Amino acid sequence: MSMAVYDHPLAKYIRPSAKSTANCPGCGNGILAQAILQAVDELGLSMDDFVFVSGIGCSAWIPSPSFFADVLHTTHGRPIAFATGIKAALPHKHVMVVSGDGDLTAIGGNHLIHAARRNIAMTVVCVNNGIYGMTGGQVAPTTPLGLMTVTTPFGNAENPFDICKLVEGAGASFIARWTTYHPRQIVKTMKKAIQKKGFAFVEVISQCPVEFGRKTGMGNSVQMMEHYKQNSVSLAKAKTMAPEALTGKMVVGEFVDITKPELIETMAAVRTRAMASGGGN
Amino acid sequence: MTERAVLTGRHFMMGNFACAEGALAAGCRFAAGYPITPATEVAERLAERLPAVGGTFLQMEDEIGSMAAIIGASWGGMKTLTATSGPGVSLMLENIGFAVGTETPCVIVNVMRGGPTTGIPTVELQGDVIQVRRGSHGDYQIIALAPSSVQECFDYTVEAFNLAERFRTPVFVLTDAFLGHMREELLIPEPEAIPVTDRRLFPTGVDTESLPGFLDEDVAPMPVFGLGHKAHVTSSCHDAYGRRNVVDASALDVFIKKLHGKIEAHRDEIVRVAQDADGAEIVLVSYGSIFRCAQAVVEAGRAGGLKLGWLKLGTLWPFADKEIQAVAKRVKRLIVLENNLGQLFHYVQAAAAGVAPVSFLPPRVLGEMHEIADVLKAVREVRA
Amino acid sequence: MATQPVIISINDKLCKGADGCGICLALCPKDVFKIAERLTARGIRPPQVDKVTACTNCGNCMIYCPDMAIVVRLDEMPEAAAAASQSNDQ
Repeated sequence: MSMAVYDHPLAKYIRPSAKSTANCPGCGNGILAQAILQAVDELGLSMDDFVFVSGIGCSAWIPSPSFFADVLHTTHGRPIAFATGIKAALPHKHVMVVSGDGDLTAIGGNHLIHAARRNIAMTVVCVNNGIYGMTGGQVAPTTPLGLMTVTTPFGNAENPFDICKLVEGAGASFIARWTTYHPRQIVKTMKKAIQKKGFAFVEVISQCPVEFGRKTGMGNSVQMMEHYKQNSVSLAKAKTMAPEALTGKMVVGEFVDITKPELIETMAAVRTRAMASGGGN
Repeated sequence: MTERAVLTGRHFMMGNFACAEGALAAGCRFAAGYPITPATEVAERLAERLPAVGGTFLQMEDEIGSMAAIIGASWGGMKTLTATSGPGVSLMLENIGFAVGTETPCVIVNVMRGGPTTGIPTVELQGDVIQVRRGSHGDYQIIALAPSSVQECFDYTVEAFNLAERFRTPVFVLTDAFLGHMREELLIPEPEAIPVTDRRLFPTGVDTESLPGFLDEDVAPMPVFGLGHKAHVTSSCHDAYGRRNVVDASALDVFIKKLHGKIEAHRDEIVRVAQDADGAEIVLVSYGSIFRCAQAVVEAGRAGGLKLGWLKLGTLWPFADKEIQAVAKRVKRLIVLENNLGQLFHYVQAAAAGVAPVSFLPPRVLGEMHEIADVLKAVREVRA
Repeated sequence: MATQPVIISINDKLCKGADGCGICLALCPKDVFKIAERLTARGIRPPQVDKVTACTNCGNCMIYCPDMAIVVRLDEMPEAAAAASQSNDQ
C-alpha cells in the first residue's frame, strides 16, 4: 500500500544534502537532534541565529552536517575552545556546542572547565552515552564502575564522573540533565539554556545500542530507554533518598540557574574602559 | 577617545612588540594566547592594545585552546593571531592542520627558543623550521616568514596577515628569543601606506549548498559565519561544498591535492628572497637573526678581498628552490648558516644538487650566533 | 471515545527499521503500529500503521523517532482518506 509521505515540520531545519543520518538504528542522538530543533522552532528563532560547533564522535554528527546552519566540526575535544572564539567574534549569535562525553570530559575536559569558569554565554549539550561509540566501545570517563568494555575486558576499574557536579564546581550558571526518554523536558530546558546569558550546560543521557547496549549486555535501544525511564529520579526526589539508594540512578532535572558575571559582557566592559582611557600606550 | 590602531611614527621598540603592532596595522582585532617565554610580550602588548582599539584578547587555558579560539574567531569574520614558542607550536599542530584543512586565515607568531623539549626558554635557536613545515600529520603546504630585524617583525607580520587572507591559510612568523627581545628603530607608516588584503567573501544571500566554498586552487570565497551562508566547515575529508566524505579514497585524493595545489600554484607570488651576490664566488644562505651575521661576514670578507655574497630567505616556506638554484648556477659554493644542526640546509642542498656544492655551518655554540671570524675561517677553508 | 482522525506517514527513506530500532512501536501507548512484512529499499522492516483509529495524537512516535521518519497530522478530509486507502489496498 503506497501512501503519501509528509514532510516533518522540522525538516526545514535540515540540510538538503544531509536528510538521512549515519546513526545506528535506535541511536538516541536523533531524539536529541529533534528536541534541539523543536526548541529552536518554539523560540521563533532561525537557524541563522545560531552557530553550532561539535567535536569528534557520533553525537558531534548531530549538527554536522544535518543542521542547515553555520556548523563548525572541530578536532577531538576542542569544540568549546573553537566556540569561544566564535562567540567573541559573533556575540549576538547563539553558539551551541553539541558533543559527546568522551569529547567534552576526557580529551576536552580542560576546555569544559575553563569555559564554565568564564561563564561564557553558550549552550553546551553533552550527549552522554557512557562509552566511546564511534571508535568501537572503549571505556569513557562516564562508564560505570565494573563494566566490561573493549578496553576494560576484565571490568572497568575507574569511577565515572558526575559531569553536572563537575561543571557546577567549575562555575556554570545553568546546569541540567535529562535522558532521551525525556524529549519534551529536553525541549523546555533547551529553550531556557539557549536564552541563558551564561554558560548553559545540558547533559543528555542517550542510548548507544550497538557499542554500549549490545557489546556490554545492557540491551537494545528500547530496553535502554526503559532503563532510563525506570532509573531516572527527579532532583527533588533524590534529595530525600539515601546515597546508597541513588547508586545506579540518574538524577534528572534543572539543577542550577543563577546569575553571575558572563565573559562576553565583561570583555565588552573592558573594551569600553580601555577605549575611554585612550589605551595603555 | 579610541586609541590609534596604527602607531604611525618612529619608535624604538622590541621585536615582540613590533609583531603586535604589525598585527594591529593589518587589521587584527582578536588574539588568543598562553604565556610562554620568549613570546609572552606579544600577548602582553596585544592585551593592552586590542581592547583600546575595540578588539579582544583572551588568555586561554592552553595553547591548544588558543589556536582553536583564533580559528573560531576567524570563521566569525575577524583577523586573528596567536603567539607562542616551540613547545606551544608542538601543542598547536593538530589545530594548525585543522586551519589548513578548513582553509582558515590566521597568523601564528613563533618566537623560537632553545630546544628540544623545555630546553632554554631565553636562548635563541632556529629549531622549529621543520616543525612548522611538517609538524602536523599528513601532506600539506604552509607559509612561513622569517624577519631579520625589528622593522621586519612589523612588516612581515603585516605581510603574514595579507598572505593568510589572500590564500585562506595559517601563516607563521618565525622570530627567535634574540629578535623578540632586542630593540631597534621601527618606522610605522601612515595607515593608507600599509597594504592590507582582505579575504574574498561569499556573495550575499547564497548558501553553501549552491556555491563551493572550499578546495579551489585559486582560493574559494570564504563562507564566513553569521551571514546566512549556512557553511558546513569540517576538517574531515570533504568536497568543494564542505560535505564530509570519509568513505572514498578518491575524495581524499582531491582533498589533499587541491589544498596542496592552492599554495604550490601560487608559489611565485609568495616566495620572498633578497640577495647581494653579484660577482660572488661563495654565497652565504641564511634567514632570521642569523642573516645579521651573514651580512656582517660578507661585509668583513669583502673588505679583506673575498668574493662573498649573501642570500636572505624572507619566506622559509614555500621553499625558494628555484631562487637557490638560480644563484647556485652563478657561484662556486653555497654555505648555509643556521642556528641549529641543519634544518633548511638539506632543502638548499637538494635545490642546488648537481649545480654547486652546499655546506652547512652552525655557530660554534648552538644557541649563540655565528662569530664573524669563525665563518670567515670556514670560508677560507672551503676556498682552499 | 471520539478522537480526531489522524494521518500517520512513515518515510521509508529515513526509517531504520522496527527490528533494529522499534522505538515508535514500544512507545506508542495505543499499539497503533505493527511490524510490516515487507522490506524497504534499505533492507529493513519498517513499522506499519495497524490501528489508525486508536491513535490519540499523543505525538510520542513523532517526537521519539530518531530519524524524523514519522509525521502525524490531523486528517482534514477523513472520508477522502478512507476512500483512498480502500483503493490503495492491493
